[in-house]
Amino acid sequence: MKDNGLKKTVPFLLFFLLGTSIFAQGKQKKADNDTYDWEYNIECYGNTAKQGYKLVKVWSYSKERGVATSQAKKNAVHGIIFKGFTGDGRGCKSSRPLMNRDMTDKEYKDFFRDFFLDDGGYARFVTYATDTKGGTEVQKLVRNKKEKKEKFYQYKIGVVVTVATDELRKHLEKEGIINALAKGF
Amino acid sequence: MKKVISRFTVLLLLTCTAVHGQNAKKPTLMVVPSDAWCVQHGYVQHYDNQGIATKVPDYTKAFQENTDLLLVISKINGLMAEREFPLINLETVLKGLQNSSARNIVRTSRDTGASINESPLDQIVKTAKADIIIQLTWTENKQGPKNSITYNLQGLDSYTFKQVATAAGTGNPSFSTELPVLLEEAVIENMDDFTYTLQQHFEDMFDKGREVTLQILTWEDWSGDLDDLSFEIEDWLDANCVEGRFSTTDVTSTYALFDQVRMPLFDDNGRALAARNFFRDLSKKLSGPSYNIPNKLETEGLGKVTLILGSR
Repeated sequence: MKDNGLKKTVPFLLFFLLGTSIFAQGKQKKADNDTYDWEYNIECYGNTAKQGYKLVKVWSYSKERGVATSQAKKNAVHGIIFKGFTGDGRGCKSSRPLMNRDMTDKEYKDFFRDFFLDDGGYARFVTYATDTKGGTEVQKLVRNKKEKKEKFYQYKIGVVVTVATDELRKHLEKEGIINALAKGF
Repeated sequence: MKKVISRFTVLLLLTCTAVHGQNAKKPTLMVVPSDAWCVQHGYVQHYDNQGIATKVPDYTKAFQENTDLLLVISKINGLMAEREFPLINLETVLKGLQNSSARNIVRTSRDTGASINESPLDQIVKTAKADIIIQLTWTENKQGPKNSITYNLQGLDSYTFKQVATAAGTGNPSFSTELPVLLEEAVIENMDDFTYTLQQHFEDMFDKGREVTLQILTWEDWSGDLDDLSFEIEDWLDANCVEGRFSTTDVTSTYALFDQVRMPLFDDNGRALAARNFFRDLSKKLSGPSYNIPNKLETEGLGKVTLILGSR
């Protein structure tokens, strides 16, 4: 009788775990697609004392708080490479994106697929600025359905991170992704 | 075996040519404090220029007395070297020129006792120079107890006199920060902007050719008319410049100036060109059988050539 119960429970547990894992992967994939489609905001968060580093606040979106928080690092590196940011009067200047040449769609896809993998190398250039008080902000976004109550849609999470911009630039120059100042000479 | 060696030699030569032809002539850069900064800080020499009191910057005095200047130049040099663009150090060049001049004064030939031959032109040429001068200016602003720095870095092309790169701005006012700290912050904050605009200039150069200047002078005893000849020179420029880009600025019977001349960065063999190599063909053409005008070609760095018609 016991064996019979176990036989019924194990497949159910396996199915449940698999489902959870696929569900989590789906959210991570959605977050990656958002980064790929530049669906995040990056803003200046003052000066760092260290030369070659930039302190930025990144706003990421997800239904899962953890996913949005962890995606902040990826978004920050993507933002420094492709978006840049404007100054905000807190003592930091505007920053141009590191990308200084035209990139084909294929190049962008290949670069994104490899560099932004979880172990693809981007993480070497970014750290959470944990010593910044009030660095993380959480906002709940709601969607207003017609004649219905407002419904939770997703989180908008602002995380402050430090990006090693000089090291990142050197790495991208070495890989031929961006042009070095002395290229051609 | 001989065949293998000869094939290997040909392959090596081809590789060398390809590698050799890949890189354009690298412009030299040097940071120089601006005239305005030198005057403000009293680093000037006064002299009487035919009745007009004139001030010229005294760079040696500035380097000897102002440690903030040394700090800023050292910081800029360091950041540029990091980007594989080491700069010429003005202070070192000035010291080198003084040493070289002192040595030349005491040099004599062992056999004849003759001293070193130095024309007035040689003396002018032996000054501190670079293809792009990075002009540096800063001013301290005081607002009550707060200090801030207004910082201006301009990259100026020595031959076209155009500003090819820039970074300028005023830092945040601060209560207690000392001047060297504010200066260091200003350099770090503005360097990305400066290198970005400099890179835009280089990209424009790779795209449309190096912008150079051709000046034509004539010796007193030359009997020709440059006014007529200038049309032939324009034809040559039109045929040889990148997309025929150049401007005729001045033409008289004895003088002509062509600027915004876009010369290619490489010759047909893939060899990197400077203005000197580019205009050598024009010099040869003018002295050849069709025109028979002997001429002298003088060069200033990568981007300016003067042809003097009439004799060598």
